[in-house]
Amino acid sequence: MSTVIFSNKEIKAMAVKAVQDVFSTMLCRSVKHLESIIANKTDVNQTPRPTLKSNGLMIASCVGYLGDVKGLVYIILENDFAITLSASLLGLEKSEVEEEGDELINDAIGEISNMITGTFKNQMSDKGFQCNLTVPSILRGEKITIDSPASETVDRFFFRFESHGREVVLDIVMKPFDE
Amino acid sequence: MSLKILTVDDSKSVRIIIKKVFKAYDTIILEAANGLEGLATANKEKPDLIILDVTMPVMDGIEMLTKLKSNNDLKQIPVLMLTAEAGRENVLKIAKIGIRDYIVKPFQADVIIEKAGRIIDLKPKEEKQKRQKRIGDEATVLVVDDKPAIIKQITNGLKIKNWSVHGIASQGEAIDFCQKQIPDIIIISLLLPESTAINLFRLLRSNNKTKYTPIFGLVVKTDKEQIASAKETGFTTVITKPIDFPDLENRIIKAMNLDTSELYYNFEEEFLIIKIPEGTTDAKILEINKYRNQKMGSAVDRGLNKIIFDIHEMDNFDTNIMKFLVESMNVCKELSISYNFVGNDKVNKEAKNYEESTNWVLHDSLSDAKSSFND
Repeated sequence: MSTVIFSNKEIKAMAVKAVQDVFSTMLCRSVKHLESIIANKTDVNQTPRPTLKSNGLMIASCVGYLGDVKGLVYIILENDFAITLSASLLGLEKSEVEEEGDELINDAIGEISNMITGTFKNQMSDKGFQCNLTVPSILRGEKITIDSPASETVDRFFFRFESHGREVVLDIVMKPFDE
Repeated sequence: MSLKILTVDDSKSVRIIIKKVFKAYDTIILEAANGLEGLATANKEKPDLIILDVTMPVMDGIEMLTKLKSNNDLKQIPVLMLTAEAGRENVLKIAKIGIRDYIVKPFQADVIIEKAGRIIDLKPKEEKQKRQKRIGDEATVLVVDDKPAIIKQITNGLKIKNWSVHGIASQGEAIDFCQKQIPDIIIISLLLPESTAINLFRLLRSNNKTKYTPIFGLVVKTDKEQIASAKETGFTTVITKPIDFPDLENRIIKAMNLDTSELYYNFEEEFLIIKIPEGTTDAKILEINKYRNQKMGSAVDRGLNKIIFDIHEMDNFDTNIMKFLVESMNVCKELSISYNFVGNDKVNKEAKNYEESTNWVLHDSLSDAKSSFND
């Protein structure tokens, strides 16, 4: 039998704090939580996903957490917005980031997702659930869909945010606790 | 002597941020991408402080720390741990091996400076250096290109006061020029025949006079191969044709580390005028923000108590600019400084879209704003 570790409300509070902390301290940007979609267990792949306003290349950055709680955190955004955020993080002009190319963007976005997932995970640790982070990996494509195999019982939490008119989705996959 | 700080992090972004954080202090930043490189650099350079990440490939931070502490030559070097993993168990485990302090990501620049400052004696750079060059100072830009049209374009395109452009067509003449006068910036066309650009670059770098002069490459935007090879050679940056002049000006300013405060802050009569220019990007707002406390402090020092925010040129009223203005107004209130705005209809209309600024009164001209303090 599996039980829920954290309530939906707790997950939401931890996720929103993680994104807001990283945006305000590292990127000097305000960010607003727009929408939450929660899919518990069996209905995971049936639940409609939040749609991201986009036209073009997308980036999904993924960091896993592993320990007393297990799962993945994806940060999904437009490539162009990823360049803007990388520039804010590094204090560079957008053109300079573009010139350095994908390698620097991957590094910066990887670092941003590492910090967001870290802040999320540290709040779980404070509640008594220890875990470690995996290294980040970056996916790029025009249309990215992320599904969980139907045989796996996982909870999915989608949170859509807006910062200065640009959107970002935080997608948290969490494996319920087995007793 | 400058303090040596070694940043060990697999993320280039973090290393760039650390460099930026300590830029204002008299420090030399050394970099390593993993624990193994970190140990090698620590051994060779004997840094005064190590800022160490935990999760890294090849050798992680914990292993590096353990090796450092078991080496008699290195164990006294203080270590500041920088990590996204704040769990208490993690921290306790690391603390047992021996660290001076730790910082959890996300982090603020001030926190790093404060914690590093408790361990080593950080001194601002200004104390050591002579006056930092300002944006209004004279500067010489040397352009090496065999096409007169490009030289003419750059001469006309760079609009900053007191910058002079010298055009030269060949390697020999460029070397002669630099013997007589050291330019502040050198721009070399990468399309000069027979790898002239690379040869000239190496000659300039091996000469003591021009060893540290920023050298820019110039090439067509689509020529990715040339761009990559110039970067590999060590060019400060590569600018592309068609030339984006505001961007080129920004890069020159950055490469020369110019004090740009006078673009935004000016003292006139009994007023401090803070101007947000046209096309202010997020990066510019950070730059404007950087000078704020010093400038407002200096206004108070001079006995001035009136500030005018000149936002009439502003064409992109966004939340970052709004945040800067609201924070500045709060500082004014704290320091009992009164303030006024200069704007125009468009800015006025945009200001009404924000809750914070809906009641702002924008004056049409600087003289209106100045005289309205008497109302």
